[in-house]
Amino acid sequence: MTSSNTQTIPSPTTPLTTSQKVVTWVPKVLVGLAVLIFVGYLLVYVYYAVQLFRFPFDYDQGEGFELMDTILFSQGEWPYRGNDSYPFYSSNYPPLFHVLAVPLVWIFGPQYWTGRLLSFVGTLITAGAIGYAVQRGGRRWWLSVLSGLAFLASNYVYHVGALFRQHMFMVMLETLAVVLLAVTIDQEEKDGRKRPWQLLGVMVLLLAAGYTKQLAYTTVIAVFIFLFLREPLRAIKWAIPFGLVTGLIFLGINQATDGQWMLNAITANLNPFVPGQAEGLYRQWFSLHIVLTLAAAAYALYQLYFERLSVYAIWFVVAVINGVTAGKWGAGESYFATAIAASCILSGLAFSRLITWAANDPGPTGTRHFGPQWPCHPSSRFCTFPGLPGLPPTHAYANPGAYCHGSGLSRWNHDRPADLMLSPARSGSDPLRGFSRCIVAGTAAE
Amino acid sequence: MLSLPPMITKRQLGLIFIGLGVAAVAGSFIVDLVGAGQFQGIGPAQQRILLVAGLVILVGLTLLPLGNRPA
Repeated sequence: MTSSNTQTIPSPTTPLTTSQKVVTWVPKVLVGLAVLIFVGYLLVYVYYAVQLFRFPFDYDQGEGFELMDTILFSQGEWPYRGNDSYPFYSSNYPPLFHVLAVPLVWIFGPQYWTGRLLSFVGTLITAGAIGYAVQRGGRRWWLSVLSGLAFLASNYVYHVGALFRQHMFMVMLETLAVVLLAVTIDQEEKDGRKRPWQLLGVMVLLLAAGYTKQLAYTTVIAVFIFLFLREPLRAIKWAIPFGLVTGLIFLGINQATDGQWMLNAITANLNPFVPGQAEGLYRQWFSLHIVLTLAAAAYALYQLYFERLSVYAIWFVVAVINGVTAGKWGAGESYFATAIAASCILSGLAFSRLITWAANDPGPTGTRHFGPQWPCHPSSRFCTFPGLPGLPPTHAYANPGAYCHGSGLSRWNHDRPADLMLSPARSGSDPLRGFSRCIVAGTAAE
Repeated sequence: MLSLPPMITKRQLGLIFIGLGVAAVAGSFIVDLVGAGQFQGIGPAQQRILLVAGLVILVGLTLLPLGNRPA
């Protein structure tokens, strides 16, 4: 063992020097300030929403249509009707959001605040789901809180989140579906037990998102791409009934409305594409969410080459690509809300990973470890590196595709269960005695 | 009987990317054959599609050497 690899581990009883105190406290102060700032954004958002609830007229050109749809549903009528006859009204949107607002309209009358409240609560639930997803992956409460609050701090979420518009409710259902899928697959890969009921829950949430607003097809595509990458046959087996149920509901509504559903919810939404509008909105979205977007994109790229693609990465990429539909006449910046939700989760996980990498953070298991990290040659199946005195043998940050991080098998599940296997064993006959070994198990044979 | 792999590998994902890129390039020219578009030669939309398709093919090519690791 070379002296360059030997490090002194500070004893808990050793008093900290001034520079050590600064290094310890400055990050905490900065994190505290960041949390305070984002809580401030939240308070502004809540204040804005409450004020909006009290405003009795439509605040956005689409709110009147949404309320009218809800009123018609509350009277047991479809809003998908012929434009040629009185009252010359028809809806362009699926029914779920309005149907959910119906009880509030029954109780309180046709008030704008009913749908505004529903949409606003939807954004809070989305933020909670984002925070939960980041917490599961990173176990840093402040980063989870910041990720959730970053969603609410987005200019776009602020703008449409408290309006009587169904868009953010769709984003809530999409986010819940994706997070539930991530949890389900993670659990399945840990214990090898299939959880069809949880997957059914994902499908129900996707269906609900699609019947809240058509744009949810983005998340449906992302979910099935992810399932296909993990288990192609299973993806097909779920896609067939999902498609059938979606289609049957579609046909049922179309039948019940004499074809007006197809005409108004689909055909009438096929508006001309305005390239300048798409480009302008892409630029605006990027400039307003630059940190979230760059961090998420970098992490998605990292996953593409060095580990397995997560559902969050696929969701983010598909949602960003679908942002091009914001260039459709009548569309707007809210079309990026799904990409923003995905970027909040992915960037939170990316920062968590970065912090772990940079600081050798003990993580949820509390196992502290020190020392530099040794990259492996991409062609190598074994990653070897010197151990450190008094520490468990396996400390690695290894290639290829191999995030091998931790101290023995206790960290195995937390980091990259599917890609790597850590071998804590060192025997006297081992030619690599004094070294640790990281076995890349990307393929079954290896 | 359809035979599907238990999971998609990086190499297979690379092949999928290449296939999508090639299909996009072909599609951008096929629309000319059916009379779509309003430009002589390669129009601005086609240029963008070709650029994106080229990038997708490039990404696909870089994934091929990663072999049988799970995507």
